[in-house]
Amino acid sequence: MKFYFKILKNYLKKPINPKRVALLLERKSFEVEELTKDFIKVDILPNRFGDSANFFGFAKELNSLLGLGLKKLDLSFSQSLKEKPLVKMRVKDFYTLRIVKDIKNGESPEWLKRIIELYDYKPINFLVDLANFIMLELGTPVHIFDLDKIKPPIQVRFAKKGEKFIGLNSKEFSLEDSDLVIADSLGPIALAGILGSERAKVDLATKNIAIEIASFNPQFIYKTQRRLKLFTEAGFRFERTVPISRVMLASQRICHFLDGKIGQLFVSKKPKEQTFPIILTLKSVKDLGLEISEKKIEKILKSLYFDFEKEKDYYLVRKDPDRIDINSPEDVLDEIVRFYGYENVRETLPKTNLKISHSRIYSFSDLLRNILTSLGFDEVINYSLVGKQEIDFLKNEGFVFQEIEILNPPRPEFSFVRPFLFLGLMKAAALNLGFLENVNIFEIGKVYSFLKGKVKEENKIAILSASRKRQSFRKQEFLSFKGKLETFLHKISPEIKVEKDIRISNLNIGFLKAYKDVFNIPGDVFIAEISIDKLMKIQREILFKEIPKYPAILRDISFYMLEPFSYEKIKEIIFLKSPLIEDIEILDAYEKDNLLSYTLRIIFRSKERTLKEEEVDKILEEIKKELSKLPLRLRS
Amino acid sequence: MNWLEEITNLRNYVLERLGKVQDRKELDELKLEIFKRKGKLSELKKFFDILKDEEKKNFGLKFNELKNELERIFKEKERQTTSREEKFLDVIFSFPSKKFYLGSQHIISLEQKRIIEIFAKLGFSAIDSPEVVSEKDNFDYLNIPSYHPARDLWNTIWIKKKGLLLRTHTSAYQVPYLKNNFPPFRVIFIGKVFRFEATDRRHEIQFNQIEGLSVVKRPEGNLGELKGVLKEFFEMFFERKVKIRLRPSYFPFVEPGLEVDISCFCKNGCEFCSFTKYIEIAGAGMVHPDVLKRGKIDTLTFQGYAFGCGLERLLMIKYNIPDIRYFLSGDLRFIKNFS
Repeated sequence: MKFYFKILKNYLKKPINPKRVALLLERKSFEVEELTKDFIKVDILPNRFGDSANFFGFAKELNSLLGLGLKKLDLSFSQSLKEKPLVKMRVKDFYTLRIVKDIKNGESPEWLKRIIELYDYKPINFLVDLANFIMLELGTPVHIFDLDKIKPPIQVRFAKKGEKFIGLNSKEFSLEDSDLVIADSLGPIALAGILGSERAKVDLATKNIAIEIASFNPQFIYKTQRRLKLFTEAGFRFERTVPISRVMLASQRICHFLDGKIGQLFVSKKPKEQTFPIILTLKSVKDLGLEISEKKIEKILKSLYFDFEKEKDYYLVRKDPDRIDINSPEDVLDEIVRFYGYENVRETLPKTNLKISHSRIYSFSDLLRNILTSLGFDEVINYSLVGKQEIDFLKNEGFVFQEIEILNPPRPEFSFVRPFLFLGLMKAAALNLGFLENVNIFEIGKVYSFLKGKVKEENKIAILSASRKRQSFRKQEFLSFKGKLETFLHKISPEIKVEKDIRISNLNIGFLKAYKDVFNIPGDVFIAEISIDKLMKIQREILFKEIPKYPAILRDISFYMLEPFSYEKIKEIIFLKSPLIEDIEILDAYEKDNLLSYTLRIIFRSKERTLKEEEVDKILEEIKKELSKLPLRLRS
Repeated sequence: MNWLEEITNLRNYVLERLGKVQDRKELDELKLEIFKRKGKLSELKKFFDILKDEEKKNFGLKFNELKNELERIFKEKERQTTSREEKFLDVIFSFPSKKFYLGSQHIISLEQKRIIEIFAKLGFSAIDSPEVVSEKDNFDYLNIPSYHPARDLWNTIWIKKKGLLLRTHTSAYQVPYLKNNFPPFRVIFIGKVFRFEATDRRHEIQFNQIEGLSVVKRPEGNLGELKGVLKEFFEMFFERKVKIRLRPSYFPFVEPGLEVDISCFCKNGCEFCSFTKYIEIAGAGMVHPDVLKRGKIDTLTFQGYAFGCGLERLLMIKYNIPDIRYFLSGDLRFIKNFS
């Protein structure tokens, strides 16, 4: 809110030094957004809006900071009318209403016009302008009804569902039973705290009026403004709570500016307020790390218009009732520390040593990152949100999951929380293939879906390889991708098997897939997605393994695959032939005349003795015999 | 023929030929001619079969003499002439190498790791936290009930199922963590947060936050420690001296609530700090007792402080990155920038 120095000086005894004011405000009260020779613009946050976002309250804050002396508001007026309006309160909100008769409405005096014009209000007539002025001066929205246009009694109640209301802007609203209204016997004459009605508005012919000043429940106003998408300055203030103390002040102050016969004030029952004092212990001040004398504490409390009594080692503090944000000892401490000055708080470092214990995901992810970057993969981070296109793709591809949908997507492509990680990699691949020949990337992150109605979270890693080359299935590249994947996973556990499913014994931990022409990626794209949560569980313990004492005997066999056949199956058959087979390695794999050719090296070793060539050759013969039952052609 | 004559002839022959040798290739050819099996030198061995014992001995001596001399001469000559291969070996050091590709980690991961290390030095453990959270954890338990104007400070991305949302700040994990752990503790939560936002150079719908939470026995863990920890962190992170300025602010889950500024890199004010010489960098405060109580913490014994700041913002300042949207662009040219 902007505050003009020429207005502020009406409320302060001593002259204002703008630069000093700005400096102190910035340090102790509000963020200063702009300072000119005429005004200072500050950002007042919701907790201080009720007391400070008005001339009087802001002057109070300046007085607390700088001791400029607060002028007394002129509240003088003479009450010449006995009449007190009858208001039926159906809610517990704080409400006042006063009748004033025989007034003359007209154009506002120059001083009033000037002030409200500074705040971008168009002068309309004296009564409307005065209501706006009181709001700016004290922070209390004021509503004035033309008494002759309404049919008493007045009620403050919730609207009936479907009830119609025509606002000052001539727009019609259909109300809900959560909307608070002021009504007469004919229906709503105001949407409480937000907007007046066309029917009861004051005009130049107005003679008799009813002045409403209230403190409506912020929740009601919040709800109605958002439901109707109708936001007014009054509504904004009520959402941030209008102090009851100010309502009382404003109901007197406005009369000061009115001629005519002023009636008695109707005041609804005051809601229960915190009347007992706040206990501020000296220990709590010390615990905060402040080195501050009692004298200084008392000076600060006084400057804040707080009353207090000193007991043995604590104060009984009664706050300034305008300060709706002060309700607990911590709130008082906040006041003390900001006036004491944050710059005076001495920096210290933690003294007690606590055991450092990070979540394991951090070091584990770091290990994965190190392995994958060494294998030539770059890390990307993508949005955790995906669009309908991606979800449909997954469903078409047979993925089973229950997606989490966003209620208010910021953009259509952000309509779901990602249930799988590789979708983002697809997008990134398509982008990077625009300027790179090959893209090898990975991402580590969380994915979400519903499982039995509950949110299921999983830490995952997805890896992708794509190339701009357009050709039939890139077998060699695929196998090299798979090879890197295995190298990577075997660092975690050599027991992990990589096929379409990636698993360890019977536990499925991920998948490997090859797609063609998806998500604007030309040609083949290979992806793998693996659960980090599961990987972490199976990470092998590192134990010392005996270094082999006896030499190994190696035998190579080569064959053509006549029909596509699972390599794992071949391995399994070979291993079954003898417990002396330590390992099987692929020495060579190539393709000729559309046939895949493999050369395998079988490693024989015994833990107890040196093997003999003859016994190994015998096993090899048996293996060859077994393999010849498969659609393979052995090569010599 | 006399064996001595033949030895002399061979010697002369070799010396004559060597004199004409131009390069290593010719030298190698000559060497082969002389030394190969059935070459000129071994031809002389025929005398071992022909000669009588006594002469055989003399011949043997002379033969070995010649062989040693020729070997020496060839070695010497080889030293003088370099082969193609050797020439190649010499220049290969200047040839372009075969390239290997080393991948890069995302700058967010690299810096996240560094930040975790820095905070570990200050006694904070890094704790993993969820991104899809309940409205209660994100708002209600932090003194931001529904219909509270403070909710407007966080533009929320809601999930269709009632009561769920994408966390708008890492503070959403404060109460769940407090509930499940016994103080004293000092922890950081670091991770993704989400805002319903129109994106531009400074705004993204998704970014990362670092949140610190300390709950220890009074009078430790106070405002002074908060200030000291922040200063220490920012100095280690930016690798320079930093001045900390705290300003009053309002976050319903801390009291007092603070805005944290650090001194700018510039000397006399720059556009980055809007010529104020300070940069707004974090929010902080003493944990509100309501929040501690919801976490079943005894507020008479313990007190807490918390702080939070945007990771991308820190990096934009540190590396002079002009646009926050680079981080999630997936553009490898951006990612490779930092390795």
